[in-house]
Amino acid sequence: MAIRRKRKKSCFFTENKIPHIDYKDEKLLRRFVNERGKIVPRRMSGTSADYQRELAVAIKRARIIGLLPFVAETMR
Amino acid sequence: MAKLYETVVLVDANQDDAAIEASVKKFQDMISSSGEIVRVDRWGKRRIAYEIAGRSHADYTVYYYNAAKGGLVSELERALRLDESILRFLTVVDNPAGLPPLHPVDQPEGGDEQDLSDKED
Repeated sequence: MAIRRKRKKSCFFTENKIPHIDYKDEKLLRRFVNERGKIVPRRMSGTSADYQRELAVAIKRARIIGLLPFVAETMR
Repeated sequence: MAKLYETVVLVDANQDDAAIEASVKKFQDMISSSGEIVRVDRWGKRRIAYEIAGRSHADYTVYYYNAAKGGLVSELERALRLDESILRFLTVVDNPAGLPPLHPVDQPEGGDEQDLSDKED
């Protein structure tokens, strides 16, 4: 049986003391979508629940105004 | 009680600059007629992540303004909807992130311009 090592993940927003996630901050949001444009789950990114919720809203808003794709073959 | 609103507007970048500026001015005047403009950020022309109405580039403007509940916002959105050169807009009330810091990219003329060659029509 393979032993799965737990790697300590930490929340980017908590660490960097970002109080609120702005949907206009494309550079920040890009870190939390994969190359298909999907939102990275918190089990991958380590984002805390509160921030993940805020992040999801921000990414969706950014998609509406065309900063992020809804779907992408490959992200630019 | 007035609240801080922000509206992001995407204007069709396929028009000449004068038409874009006129459009920005028009909505700015409309806001200041019954609200109070806090700041207007011109992001300039940039690529949209996906095509909207066959367009791959848009001119972005963000209006920050104080307005009383109802009235102005619905009036503004109605006007935006009627204007065919407006590709998309988004209004947010009381954004907890607040006003972004003044940044060179946000300045009216300080656009780090990408290539704007619109290949369509």
